[in-house]
Amino acid sequence: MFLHKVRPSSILDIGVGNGKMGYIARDYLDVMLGERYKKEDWRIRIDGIEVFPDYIQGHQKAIYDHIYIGDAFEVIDGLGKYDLIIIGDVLEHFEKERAWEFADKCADHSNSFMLFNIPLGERWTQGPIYSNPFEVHRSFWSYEEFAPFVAEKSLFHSPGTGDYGCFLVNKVDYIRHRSRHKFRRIEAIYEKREERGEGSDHGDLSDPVVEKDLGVDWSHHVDKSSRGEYSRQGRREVEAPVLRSCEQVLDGRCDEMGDFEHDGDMIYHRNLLALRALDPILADAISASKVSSDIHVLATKKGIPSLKVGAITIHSLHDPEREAEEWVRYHLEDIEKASSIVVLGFGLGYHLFALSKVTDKDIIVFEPRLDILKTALEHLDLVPLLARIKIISDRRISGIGRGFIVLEHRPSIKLDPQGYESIQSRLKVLDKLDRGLKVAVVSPIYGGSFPVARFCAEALKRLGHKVDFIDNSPFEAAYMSIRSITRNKAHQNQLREMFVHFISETNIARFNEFKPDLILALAQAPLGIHSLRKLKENNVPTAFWFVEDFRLMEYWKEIAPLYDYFFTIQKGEFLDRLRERGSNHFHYLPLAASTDIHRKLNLSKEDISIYGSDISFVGAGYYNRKRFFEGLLDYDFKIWGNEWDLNSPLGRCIQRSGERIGTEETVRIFNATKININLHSSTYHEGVNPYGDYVNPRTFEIAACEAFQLVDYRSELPELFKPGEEIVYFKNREDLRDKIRYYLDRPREREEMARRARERVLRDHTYEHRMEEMIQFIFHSGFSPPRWDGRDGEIDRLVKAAGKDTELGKYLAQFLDRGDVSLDDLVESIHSGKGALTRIEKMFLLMHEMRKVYMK
Amino acid sequence: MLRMKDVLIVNLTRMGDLIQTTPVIRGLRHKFPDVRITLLVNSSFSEICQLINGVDRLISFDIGGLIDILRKGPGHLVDGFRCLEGILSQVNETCYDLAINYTHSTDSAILFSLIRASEIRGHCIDEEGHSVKRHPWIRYFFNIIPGRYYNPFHLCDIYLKIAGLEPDGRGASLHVSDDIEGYALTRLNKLGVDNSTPLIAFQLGASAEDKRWPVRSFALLGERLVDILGAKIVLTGSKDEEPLGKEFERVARITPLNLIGKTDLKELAALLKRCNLLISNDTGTLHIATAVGTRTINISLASVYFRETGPYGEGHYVITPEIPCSPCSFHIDCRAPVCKEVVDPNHVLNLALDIVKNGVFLGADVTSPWENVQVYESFFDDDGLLNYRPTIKRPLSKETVFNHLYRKTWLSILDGREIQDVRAAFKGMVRRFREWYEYDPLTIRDLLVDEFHGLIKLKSLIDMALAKIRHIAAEAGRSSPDIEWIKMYWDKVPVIEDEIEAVGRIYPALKPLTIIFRYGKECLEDKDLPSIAEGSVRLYEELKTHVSLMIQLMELMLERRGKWKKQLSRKMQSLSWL
Repeated sequence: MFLHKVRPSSILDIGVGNGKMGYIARDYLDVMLGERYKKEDWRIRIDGIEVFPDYIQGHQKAIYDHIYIGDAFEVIDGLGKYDLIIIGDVLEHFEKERAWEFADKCADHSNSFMLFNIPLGERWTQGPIYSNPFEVHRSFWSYEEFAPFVAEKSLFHSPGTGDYGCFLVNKVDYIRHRSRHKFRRIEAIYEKREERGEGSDHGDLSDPVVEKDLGVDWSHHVDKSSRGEYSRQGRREVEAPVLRSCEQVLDGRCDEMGDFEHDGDMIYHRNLLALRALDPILADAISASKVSSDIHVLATKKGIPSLKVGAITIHSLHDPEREAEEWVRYHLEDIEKASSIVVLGFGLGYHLFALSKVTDKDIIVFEPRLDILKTALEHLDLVPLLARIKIISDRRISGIGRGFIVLEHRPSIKLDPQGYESIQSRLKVLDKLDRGLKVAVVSPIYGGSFPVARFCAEALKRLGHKVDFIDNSPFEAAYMSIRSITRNKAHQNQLREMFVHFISETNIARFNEFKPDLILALAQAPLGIHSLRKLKENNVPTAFWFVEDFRLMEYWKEIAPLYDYFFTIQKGEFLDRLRERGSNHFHYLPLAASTDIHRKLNLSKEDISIYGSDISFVGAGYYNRKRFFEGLLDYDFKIWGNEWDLNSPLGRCIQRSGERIGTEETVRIFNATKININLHSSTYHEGVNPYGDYVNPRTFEIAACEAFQLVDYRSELPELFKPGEEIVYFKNREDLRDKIRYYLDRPREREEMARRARERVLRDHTYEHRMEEMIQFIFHSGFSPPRWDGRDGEIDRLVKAAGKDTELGKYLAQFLDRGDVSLDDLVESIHSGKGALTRIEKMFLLMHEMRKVYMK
Repeated sequence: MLRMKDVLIVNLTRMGDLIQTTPVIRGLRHKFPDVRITLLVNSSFSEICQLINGVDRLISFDIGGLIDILRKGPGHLVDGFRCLEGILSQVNETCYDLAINYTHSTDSAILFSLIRASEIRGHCIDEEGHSVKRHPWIRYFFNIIPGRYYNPFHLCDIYLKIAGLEPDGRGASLHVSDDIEGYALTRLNKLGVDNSTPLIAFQLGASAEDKRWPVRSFALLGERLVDILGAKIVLTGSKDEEPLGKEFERVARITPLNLIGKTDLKELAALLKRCNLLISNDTGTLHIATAVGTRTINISLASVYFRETGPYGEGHYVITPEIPCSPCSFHIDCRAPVCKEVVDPNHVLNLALDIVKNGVFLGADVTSPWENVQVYESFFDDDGLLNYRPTIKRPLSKETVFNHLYRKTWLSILDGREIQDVRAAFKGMVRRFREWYEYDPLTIRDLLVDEFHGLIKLKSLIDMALAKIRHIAAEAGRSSPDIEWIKMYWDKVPVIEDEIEAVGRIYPALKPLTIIFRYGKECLEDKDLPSIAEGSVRLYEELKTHVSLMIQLMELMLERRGKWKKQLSRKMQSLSWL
């Protein structure tokens, strides 16, 4: 999975062992993806490091390009850079501190990714094995230590010992995290010293932790770096020489350790060092940038610098600090309401200083011009500010929390409107997401994905989105009646096609009414190709969740390229096929449970006698189920659902003569049954599909009911539930019969298993989780909301038109989270509210009523 | 009314309704000579206001303009809001001593809740947005839709009562200046109509198709009038009624003076003033004619009920079908408008000839069948309010009896004037029955037995409820009332109230009683507990007084009481629910 995502052209495998990682990588990347099965054709460079030479035998040598023997901590220094470094079962063999140091080294040698495979928890004790002393475990690790920088994860559970984690890490995230961590440690040390009133003596600053974190041998430089004019008044003064020295060391200019020629140089380097500790990539980029000739730093009357770029004055030439304070005062009300603040434009940072004084909320500053940032670093002491804010200079705007506001530093934007344009539009989209999208959820006419559509709609609502559930089920009877109109199959199909086209048009009419930001269609939704093209032409974003088997249902081939975002419940081959078909944005999204529908019930005795049995199955009588269940006839076995043959041997197990069972009753059956059998459907297997991959909704639903189930093995199952702990699977009839026997005798074990399964559902597998992931994916794939004709009622504009300080402006501002608002929306919110109406509410009610009466 | 310096009148409906507000304006001016009257109207109908005397400040609300803004979509919400705010700030320039809303719609009720006034009468919403109808006569006003067949009062009189005024017997009034009158006469002369030619105006249009008497009927009528009287027929109406005029010209043998769409309202008023008679559907033109003192014949069709909106003034005539479905309900889409055909041109001709020649309708002639038509003549009755006298004697109907009953009782209840001598009132009613209808005391019994039974049931329900509510009111009035007890005790009241409501549904003639009672209760909802309790007692007592009064009058109506009571008790035994 990770290899597929990274697609590295070079790999360094640390701790080769038996060579499994090398083998997998070679097989997947060269043989499978590259279709290069001959060794001479292999293109991926795979090197390894192994400390225990006895492990290395012929087969590893055949697979790896080169295996270095020795202590990886040292060996790695002599190697170059790789796209992916696999650090598998390595860190636990080091003491913690040394392990992090080693990981830092790996990051230095990685072009983009690192993959950590590591046992988690404290039950993975290990001494020397195979006479290999390096196999001793010296440290214990937890997921929380990796969580801040993990891009993707897989957790496996080993009963008795605990979890095993596979973490794919982006190098940039890792470095950011580590730098921040180091910076905080330095700060903490200085703060402690300040508290103790220390810091007057340079010698005291040679703190081993600081040295280590910054890679400085302090004793060589301390005397040279001290300058008389920097009296020690608190942390900043203490910090300066330390940071300056460090910077010089890092720049490899230790031999030129004379005094700085200008204070400016000193300030710049100090700032840059602080920035590097926080964001080394940005620091490098600034360092490499050239300051444009149109940038002029001018002295103000107050004696502090101001900035003019070309003809545009960025800060007041008289008193930039006062100007900044006024800027903050103007935005104060918004600042107080926001949870985080995005500022567009850095300038020399005066407004940011002023802002940081009035709020301790997160501040993210966007400045596209590196030379302006450089100029700021050169002229003002920004160290305290840098610790407070996060600077971004490209379009990457992740990490902005909900409820943010955008404050514009107008002169900066005026300087480079285009530079800000894209971030402004991305922020707008993010803001829209934050406030909730208008999503039209299109249901199928009937079938298994119908309830899923409803669950998606409900989950989206709970996530704060405005949802129009387009229920196509009223068309079911008419659709079904087509069969009885003619026996000619071709005519039937033609009529069906025409009918679906009609339904599709009704859906389009609904979209025109609702004007959604996004259309989410569920499998079998009757949106015809013609309609999809129409939507595409009008730039209306569409998403499709294909909650069925791509091998069985092939209509995806036609529609997938027409949807902007395509979600699947299968991985591997399907994703490749989608790519081949020209689908751009697709994503694996397993099914889930709706926990307010599928829930634990306290059933009456009567219910238990009706719905209960030792084993049961709820679902349609697919071919494999009919065959497979005959092997369970000697049990107290109830079969619920339709499409079963009452005249078959299973007839006596079939309840209610094979009626379709509604959701609420299904929940009762799950709850009342000792063992729920969950066999994924197949039309061409005799029982369990040995190659089955996706996991059906029933798995999640039974788990959500805190009911016990035995499910047939699916390749995607272990990622979703821990086998043996949260779920029990069977691979064939004998296996199932063994497990039925075992678990029927062990109610306590069943209960425990079911409880853990439910916890897992609540933690990871609700429709809210899925919808959140879906929306995130859509956003990160470059989502941009459509412009519907006449939909110019954007609430921001209305608030501005009303004047944000006016009574009306304030009233409208409460709808900011909707993005846009109509008179109907306003009135709806009034009706749903209680208590006395305000004057403004009455006026909107009046307008609404007048429109109703007079607009004909 | 201690102080009455500033009064606001809101009437956002059509031109006819505005003209029907003129007696109120005149009455206020007369009663409070220094009062400053502000009139808020829909700008589409504001032109007529130029002819209304006594208005100090006219505010035209450009509702069409607001709708145009809202039509542009949600992006213009703020513009719409500002437009509304503009009107409101104009209206709210002053705080009124009294503000009256004569518009029944929900939008006007919301608008009214935004107006600054010490006293509000009319449809309004309370603080939480619930509809309330402030003032007893406003509650009556609202009842005339569901209980219209039992309503004896003209809209103008109800308007006057709402304003706390009594009719002065002068009807509606518009002021036509001498200039305009002179201009109109000159124009007529130029068109070949000299001052001695009998001039009869036809208003062919109406606000809806089903209210229009057929043009060919008008045409036939016109031909005969020209033949017999040598009269000139003048067609009136607005620009959008021009097709009707064209149709008239096409089907009629005569050439009318077609002024449809060729006069403004001032000229129309002057023209009508010159006319000897106007024959009209239910329209604004009809009210203009009555307001300038011209005799009218109102052809009242479809859902129009002449008692509400017929010509307001002395000596006008209404000709209306007397068929089971007339008047029909509002907002129905009739596919067999029999009523249009029932009114025959000969009927109207008969009536018109009498009016022009004798000044009064002498009665139905025998040349054409009149059985499905009735002609009413308007006059101000002894109680000062307008009434319509039937000119053709017909048997009494239940609706008619209740119409007369309610005319006595509502005035007593809503104006708080006790009927001193019930027997005398009864006698007066019987006199009128004998004079106007084919009266048979025995038939009356059959007509009234069910409703009498309903009234007895109603009275017993009221007694049950009153006993409870008086207890509650006593507890609520204490310094520290037992709220839990009150709640518990109050829970039993709604069940009785539901039964009261049911009586109104079972006996439609009693519906006005229960409807107006319900409106009264709605008005209590935003008050505190002691006020609600007190108000409820007052409402129940009022209802009880009304019901008792009606029972007394009905008992008197049933002369042979002993025999009748036996009959009643037999009937009541057969009804298990009592």
